Amino acid sequence: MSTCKKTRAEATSVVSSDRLSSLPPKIKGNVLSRLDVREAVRTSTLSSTWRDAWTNMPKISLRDGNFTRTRFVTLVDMVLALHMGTIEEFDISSEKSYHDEFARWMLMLSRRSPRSVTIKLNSGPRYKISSCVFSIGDLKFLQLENCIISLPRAFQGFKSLTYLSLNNFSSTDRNIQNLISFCPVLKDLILTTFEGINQLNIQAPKLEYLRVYGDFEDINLEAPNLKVAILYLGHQAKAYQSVPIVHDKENHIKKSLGGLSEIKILGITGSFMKYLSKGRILTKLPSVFTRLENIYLNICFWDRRQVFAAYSLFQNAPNLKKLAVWVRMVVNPLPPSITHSMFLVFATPYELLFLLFLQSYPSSTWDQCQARILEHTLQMQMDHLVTASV
Amino acid sequence: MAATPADASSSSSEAVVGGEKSNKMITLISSDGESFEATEEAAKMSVTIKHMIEDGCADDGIPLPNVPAKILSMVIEYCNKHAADADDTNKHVADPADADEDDDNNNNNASAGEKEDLKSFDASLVAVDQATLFDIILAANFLSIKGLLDLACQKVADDIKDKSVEEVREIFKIENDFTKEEEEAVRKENAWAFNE
Repeated sequence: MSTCKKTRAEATSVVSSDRLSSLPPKIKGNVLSRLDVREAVRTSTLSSTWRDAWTNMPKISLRDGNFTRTRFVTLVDMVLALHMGTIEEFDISSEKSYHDEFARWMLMLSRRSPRSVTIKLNSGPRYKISSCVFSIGDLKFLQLENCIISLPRAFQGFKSLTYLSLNNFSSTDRNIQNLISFCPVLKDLILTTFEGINQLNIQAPKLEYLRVYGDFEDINLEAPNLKVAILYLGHQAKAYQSVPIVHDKENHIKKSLGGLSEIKILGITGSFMKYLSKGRILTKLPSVFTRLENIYLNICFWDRRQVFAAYSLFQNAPNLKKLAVWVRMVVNPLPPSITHSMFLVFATPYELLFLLFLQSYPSSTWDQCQARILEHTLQMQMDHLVTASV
Repeated sequence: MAATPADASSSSSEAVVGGEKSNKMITLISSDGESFEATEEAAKMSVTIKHMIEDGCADDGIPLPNVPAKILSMVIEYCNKHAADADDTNKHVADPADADEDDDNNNNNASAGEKEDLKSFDASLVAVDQATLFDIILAANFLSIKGLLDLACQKVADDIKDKSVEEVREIFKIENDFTKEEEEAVRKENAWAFNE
């Protein structure tokens, strides 16, 4: 081997040429991103062209599988310190706790201006998200678990954020409201399992997908472009416990869902139907949900208010195509010939009332399957219909 | 593969109504002069071609001097297969908590079976010799077809995974231009990535 620095073999001249090394840097980065991080780093010894290739890879995925604690800490420290290029995606996940290291990792990460950040450190007490994270201006995608959200005073917002998912977090009404409203292009919002939030105020003009799962007392949705809303209110929530106030003039459906003129799919699960049935029940809501096609409902049939509230919803959804209803207790399951996941329990006239409401929909707008079920169940109850008080 | 529909279009371009999927065919010309036809929908999976169509440069066929016929036909095959799935609407499956919902396939673009079909198609498309694989990568890069580029890069990554440095050099014919001392030094720098 010659002692002077070798020149690289021309990629085009030899039959068996090294085409991998001559790939454009972006593509090399794409390939390296798909390797385990340590493997990607090891490519630095392949040849001189590969020495720094990994430091430009666009995606960094740090999964703490069977690393020892020290090894994982070293890995994260070194990768964050040595990486040089733009980070398109960064994700870190572990079942161990890294509370001592978290702050410096966030600092190092925020200096790299990543576009997408996913943090799933699910063990131990919640991690307070450092203020430097909130200054990552180009952030497009943010997914956090097991954390505390407390916005810094100088929060400018995430001008490019389109996806926000917070799971198992604690915060305050104000913080969440501000976080959301300071993200002008937010399209997808997922808030699951939270503490410290009573009133959810979601002001998101570009929001198209919303999923909420937790305990809250009140919800206000100002999201005129919302297409899909899946809302789950926990059973322990205060809203479930409280007795409807007689003089509560507000209609909760109107308050929460009234502005959703573009809504296409609506999921009302847990005790959310109970929440919606509070206050006044209006048959004619101010807005008609002309685009509403699918409704998923959890409902207590023995709660007349809920039945009426549901009815008012159906009445204002002229183009409804699909309705799926669940009750938690299935007393008399439908015969095996019915395969669809739609269980109705018949015990009081109110269920029959409900069925009648469903029946008032022209069957041509229903899925064939749905129509069959309805027919069948209606048949079963035909005798009772005569005697029920409608 | 060249797709020649019964209603082969003339070379005159018609105004494309925004957002609608026209049945217009686009002619793509490989570096060795062979012509291929693809639906506009499939052709537009290439962002490069999409821009050329929108700029009105596609009337007499689009010459692709970087892409040989063999590769171009594979690319078009990919685009044809994936064009139908490219529609982004409703990519979120409505997934209510504690719901027994199994059917949201009205909202998905492909059922489970179709997805399996696509996966095996993709796998066989990139199960080619190294030279062809790199040609596909460069073509997908030039044509800006993200899905195909990612697919091919994943295949290369799969070929690198779990191999030692020496094995990788052998498979990809990488010339080790480090001296023994240089290589040792680099290894030391990144020792944290090497020890088991």
